[in-house]
Amino acid sequence: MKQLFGYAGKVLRVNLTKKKILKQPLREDIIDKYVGCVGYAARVLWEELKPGIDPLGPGNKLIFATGPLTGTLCPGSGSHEICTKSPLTGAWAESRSGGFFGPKLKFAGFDFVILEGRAEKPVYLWVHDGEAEIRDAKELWGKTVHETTDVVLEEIGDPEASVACIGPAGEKLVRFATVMNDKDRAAARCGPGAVMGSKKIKAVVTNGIQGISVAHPEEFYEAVIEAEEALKKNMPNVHTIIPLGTIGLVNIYNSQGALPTKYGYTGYFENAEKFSGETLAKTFLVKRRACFGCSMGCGRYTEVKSGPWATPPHEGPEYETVVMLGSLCLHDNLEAIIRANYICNSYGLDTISAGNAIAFAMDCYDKGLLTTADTGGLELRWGDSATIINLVEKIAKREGVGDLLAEGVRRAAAKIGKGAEELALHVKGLEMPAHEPRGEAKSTALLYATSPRGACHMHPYWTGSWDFNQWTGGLIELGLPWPPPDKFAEAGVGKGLAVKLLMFHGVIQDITGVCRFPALGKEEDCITPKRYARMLSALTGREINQFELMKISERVLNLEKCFNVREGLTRKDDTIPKKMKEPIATGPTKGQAVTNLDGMLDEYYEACGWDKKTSIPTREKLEELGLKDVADELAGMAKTPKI
Amino acid sequence: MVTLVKVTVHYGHPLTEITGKAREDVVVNKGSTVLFLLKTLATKYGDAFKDHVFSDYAKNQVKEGTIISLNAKYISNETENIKVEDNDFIGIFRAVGGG
Repeated sequence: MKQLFGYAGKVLRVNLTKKKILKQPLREDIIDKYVGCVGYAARVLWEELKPGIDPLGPGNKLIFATGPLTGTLCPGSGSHEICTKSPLTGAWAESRSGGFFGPKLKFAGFDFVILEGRAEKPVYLWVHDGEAEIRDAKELWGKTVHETTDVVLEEIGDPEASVACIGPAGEKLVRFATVMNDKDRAAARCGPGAVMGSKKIKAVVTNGIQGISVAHPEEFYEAVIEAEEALKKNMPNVHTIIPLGTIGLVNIYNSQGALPTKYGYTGYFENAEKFSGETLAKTFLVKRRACFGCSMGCGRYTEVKSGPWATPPHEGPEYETVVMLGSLCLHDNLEAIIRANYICNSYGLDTISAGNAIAFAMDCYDKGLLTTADTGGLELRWGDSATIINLVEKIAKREGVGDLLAEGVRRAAAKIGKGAEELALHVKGLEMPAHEPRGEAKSTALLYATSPRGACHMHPYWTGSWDFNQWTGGLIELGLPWPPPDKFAEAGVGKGLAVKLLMFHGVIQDITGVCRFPALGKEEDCITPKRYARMLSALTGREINQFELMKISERVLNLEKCFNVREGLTRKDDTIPKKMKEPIATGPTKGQAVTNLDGMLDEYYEACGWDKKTSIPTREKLEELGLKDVADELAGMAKTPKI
Repeated sequence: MVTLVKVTVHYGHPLTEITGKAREDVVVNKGSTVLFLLKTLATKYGDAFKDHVFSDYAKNQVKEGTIISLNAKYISNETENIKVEDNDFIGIFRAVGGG
């Protein structure tokens, strides 16, 4: 096989049932059409997963994925993704994390690790220097993420290795359990930790010294410098993200009536300043943290030294975390939020879904849908720190009412009944994050409805960058409507086309294996598709331009969509929570509601070349993208007779 | 008789550092424009505030990249013409994203 510049060149396939490890060459046919990382994983899972399988059964597969830019000098290259069928949504799942795991996996000689089957007893996988071994994890089972990381690093004798592991929440199959790496970095969304737990694999540990070959080093270096120079001009980063971290968004979002508060009733919280980035910087911040290859350093490292919520030094909390465990629960105690974040990280829980589930429970309690008879005597009062901490632990351990919430809000609401479904904030079963679509921008509502993984603000891309922030992302020459329309406008102003193009831009980061943040900004101050194409061409030696790269993104997004179609999802699943169609109660955006999602959906499907009635990609579109086999398979399925 | 109106002003970073607060209620005469309010605040907080908000203070030009919002609607280029009402929310921040 010829040398593949930019790639380690190998796939590690581990059958946990048979305890069999295979080292396979990368498939060039997939590289050519999907580049790598999420694109490669999407193709593998499309080919190898049978539709309708139990995500927590041995038939599911879980892929640790990197891309060609992962581990290189490209800004934000400290990334990896975990792709699988989600136990939370039953749909396509991709879950990104930063830190050092992705680069170290490539340095160990592998671009991907595919986990199959189910181990008989708990194990962990040690991947190093082109080799891999399955090790006993009996003594690790039950340990927290932080404990596991320390024990494994001691056992393998390599303190520089990167540990990606699950905590007790993953072992207990909490449907929104994370895979944590480097202790406090999380592949959080969609429940990959539960899939690891179902396979009885506690950790994947990796390190190595293999380099990444660059086809044209000088050109690559120049392209990287161009990207870094652009990022230096990014004033939003300079003014907010670098000094404060993502938590610096709190005051801004509150000022815009876009801070999710009291579980969907408002976007404004008078006490928001108490858990803002400015307050954190003056109180519990120890230092900043950055992932591999990052010049931004959005991570925070915090500690609460004393008091009822004393917490040891660890990473976080992020913006998402303080909102979901803060204002969403009408809660303003930063010390308690930090403590809750620490527990989530230790047990391996997605802070977004956990906070959403807790606020949902409080809303149900407030309305009498849950009572102390259901909660074991626990009163679920809005804003109560002790209740929030208690519920985080109960969810992670699946104790009492925590067992109900560990199923995610969609399943919990169905079990509660009595109208609880109308309270739950999720799309496709994925809990809605900390971007209030009625207050931020109506494009966010369309994004939530159509993202292949459910209600997510970042996958495939944060569309609010366009109509909320008025950033181009370098997409004007690719057809992005400009200037953006009013952020509160819905159909008839080009939001369908814009969301499609912004999604394609995001998929570029997903398939090349890098962080989303450097791609957010204006033409002159972010990494545009053109800049990614330049770096990728020099790295791999395969000349590609921005238009071709966007076309590959379109192929990958269509394949993810078809994955969901094959699982039975249709247009009716492309929706938003009922509360988002009701007016915001207070604050600067009082009265705002999403009133015409269907209109925006029609425009999005039309822009994508998908059938408006079913939302399914047309055969014509799939064949144009080189996905004839996908169209054929869908056509052969009883569930998709319309194609 | 002069009628007064109360406006809640929210700041994004680094204005939170410059003003020492994330939010404050400001009372102005009814009929005051948003520009008048901004200039009142510039007088109160000095050059750092002025430099962050205005590209040309004398010509009433708001700096590119600084967003002025009234009840979450962006009005950076219309501050001279829009009058504040009682209980309005003003936001002054630089766009930032992610989360």
